[in-house]
Amino acid sequence: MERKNIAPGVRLFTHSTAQFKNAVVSLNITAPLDGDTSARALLIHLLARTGKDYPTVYDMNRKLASLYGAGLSASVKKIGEAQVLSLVLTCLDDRFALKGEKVLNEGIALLLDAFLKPDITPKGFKEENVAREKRLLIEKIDSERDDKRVYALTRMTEEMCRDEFYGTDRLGNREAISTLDGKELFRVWKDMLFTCPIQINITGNFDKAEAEKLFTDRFTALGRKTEDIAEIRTEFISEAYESRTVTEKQKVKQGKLVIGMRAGMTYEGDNFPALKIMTAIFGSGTFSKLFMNVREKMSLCYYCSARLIDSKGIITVESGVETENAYKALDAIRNELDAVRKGDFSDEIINQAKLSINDSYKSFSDSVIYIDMWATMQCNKADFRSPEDYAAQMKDVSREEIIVAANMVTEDTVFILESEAE
Amino acid sequence: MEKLIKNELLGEEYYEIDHASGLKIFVMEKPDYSGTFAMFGTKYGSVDTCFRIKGEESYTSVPEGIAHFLEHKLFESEELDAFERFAKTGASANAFTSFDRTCYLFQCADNWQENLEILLDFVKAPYFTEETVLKEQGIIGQEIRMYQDDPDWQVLFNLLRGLYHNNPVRIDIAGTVESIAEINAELLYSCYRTFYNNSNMALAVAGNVKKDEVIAIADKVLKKEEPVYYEQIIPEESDSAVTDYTEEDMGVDMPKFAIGYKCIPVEKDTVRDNLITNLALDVLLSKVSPLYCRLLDEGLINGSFGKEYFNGRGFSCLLISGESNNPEKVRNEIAAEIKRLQSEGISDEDFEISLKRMYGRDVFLFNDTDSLANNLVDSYFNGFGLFDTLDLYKSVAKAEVEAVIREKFNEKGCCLSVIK
Repeated sequence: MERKNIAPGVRLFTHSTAQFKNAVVSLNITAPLDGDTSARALLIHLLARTGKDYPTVYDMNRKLASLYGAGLSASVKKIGEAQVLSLVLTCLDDRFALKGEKVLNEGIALLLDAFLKPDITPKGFKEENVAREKRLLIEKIDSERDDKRVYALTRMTEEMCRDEFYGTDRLGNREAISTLDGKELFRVWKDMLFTCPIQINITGNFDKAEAEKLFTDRFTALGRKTEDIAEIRTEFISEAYESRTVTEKQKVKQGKLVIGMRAGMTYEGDNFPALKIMTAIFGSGTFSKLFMNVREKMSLCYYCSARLIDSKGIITVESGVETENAYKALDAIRNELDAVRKGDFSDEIINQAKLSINDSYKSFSDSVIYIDMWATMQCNKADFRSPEDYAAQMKDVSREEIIVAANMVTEDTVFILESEAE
Repeated sequence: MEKLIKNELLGEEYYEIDHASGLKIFVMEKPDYSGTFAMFGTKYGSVDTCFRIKGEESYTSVPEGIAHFLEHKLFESEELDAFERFAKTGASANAFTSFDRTCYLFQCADNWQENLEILLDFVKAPYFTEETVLKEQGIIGQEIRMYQDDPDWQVLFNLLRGLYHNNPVRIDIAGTVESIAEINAELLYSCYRTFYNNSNMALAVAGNVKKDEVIAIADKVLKKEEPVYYEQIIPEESDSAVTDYTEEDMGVDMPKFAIGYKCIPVEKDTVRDNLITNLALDVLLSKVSPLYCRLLDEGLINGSFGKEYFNGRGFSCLLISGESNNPEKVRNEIAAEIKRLQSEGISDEDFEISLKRMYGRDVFLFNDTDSLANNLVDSYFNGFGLFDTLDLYKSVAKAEVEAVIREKFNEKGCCLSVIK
């Protein structure tokens, strides 16, 4: 695995291996969470669905199918306070093509064209394509919010980060989406081409020198200038001033409890290894305190787990509980965190957390999709590090460092989705 | 007895072993992978609600959701539970129950030998007491509640209840809060004795492992078991649906739908049936089909649209699902397209493109150790081998796919389920 700069604001990640039956190639574009968030989310989906040479969805899908069921999809992530927009190609390795076709090269050409050669007129993107994507994006937002677990987590994040860019939905919002048109999207596309940092990931069986030349040529030809490339920063708030509880009622069978905490981080990577292990002991995995006590001993819920979002310096705890038990569960979760703060955990659980984290970092290299995902998660970081590099950081974390990390954590926002009596 | 089964095109091979204990074992050695995935499964799921061991006088009817309950309970033991044992190695372990199988699994980068020993040991060592059963009712009760709020889950089960009069595929895998309250230790042992015999199970291990070491661990942990033969009552099922429409209001912003066509379960040459039926669904409804693109352009479906040949022991149906503000219209357009294909047939071009697309997608399945182990167990339980589908691509004919379109889309057995 390696990463290098190939043009102003353009990086290329490569991992050449014959381990897999297909390759994954992705174009990852980073932008701030700002007034154009909705437009970019829509645009990336539009770019994946049609292009100059494949003006209808049918044309594009037939072309992909003819490449042995290649996939070209769009995805949008929030990494810290950056919106990361990806076009992802999954494509059969040429070795398995039945008639010796060069499938991967064609797939890569399709991916590059999707980004660089869209179907535009002098007035901008075609309105029929824009209209379709507006409907699809709004339906996607609605559908995600119909999942109560996602809804509760989104609402907690909105409340906790209401004065930060992080409170923005990665897909934008219905109102902004509904006002978009082809001309506006053309402006946003141009802006992406010339000002957004871009990372290309390629994982699979390919010739490295050839791939490097291909991508370097295409992106150098754009004429991007280093001084135009946007710098995207994330605001870290290390400590909560007070804990605020927000409740909502809906017609649900099971209530949801989500807690947002500030992790004490003041910059990306700050105290990361100790926090990662502390969070695991507290609530990630089946050995953790939340699983063993709140689920197994108290029998309060089916899931109750904690996650460290190090790109923003927050920890979230999620659980599904009966509404009448929500405050009982909240107390129990707080007690478990207090126990970690006081050092009330065994050396064995430290070891278990380290083993489990080590195992999951090591597992990345066995999946072409996970390797691509890993590279994408690193796209805003100044230096690329492999999963093994991360695993190595964990070894020397001491009990004392874990306790210190737990004591830096402060509760910020509690969101409870209550079930309304029917 | 062991066999080495190879596929030249993929350059892949695996061992199929009839172990002395009576267990079927599959091993796929992948030396270029760093990790290992293992799956230990039994042919036993939520549909197995009425059974007896051969020779017993009467059938036992068990509460809905007991297979899933048993899956949860097997993790427990008199001393350390299975999660605690896996925590000492760093592996991530899990399990799932479906309509007709229950599987236990782990994934790890290191210590696969130790993990395999734990997996075999805990699944073969049941320990249930009234007290631990009671505790689990609280946890599973919350799992059931969670699914009751999940519109994707509800739209499927409402459909199955709209399709099936009697077949137990219509019951929820986890049961209900009421049905699981009837479960006790004795019933759990009775299910365990019937279905967790080595002869009813399979183990698949894929990754950075050695076949001989896998066998040595099986030799150490597994005792020889005489096969248990059981009989089941599968209720009679007519070919018509219970209703052609079912609807539930869950207050969602984006309405969901599922359309089902009930089929007669196929028992012979299941591998061929699977491939030609999936090809029929692909030609009719996949992203390359004219119908899909038209429905998308007309604003009737979105990215969540999908289809599946949904079949298992004693049940079989074609399933089409998605989100739409006008599900009735989606159903009508699909029905019209089926009629058209029934009379006009499939063009050579459409057939070839679906064939190529599905072949590519099937090759993708050979990438990850989890899908390899999963598919080894799955194909064995379905009566074929891991490479059999790929081998069929050369011989499958368009006429067979056309026959599926003519025969399997039975209008009387169609139901539309909607969540609003």
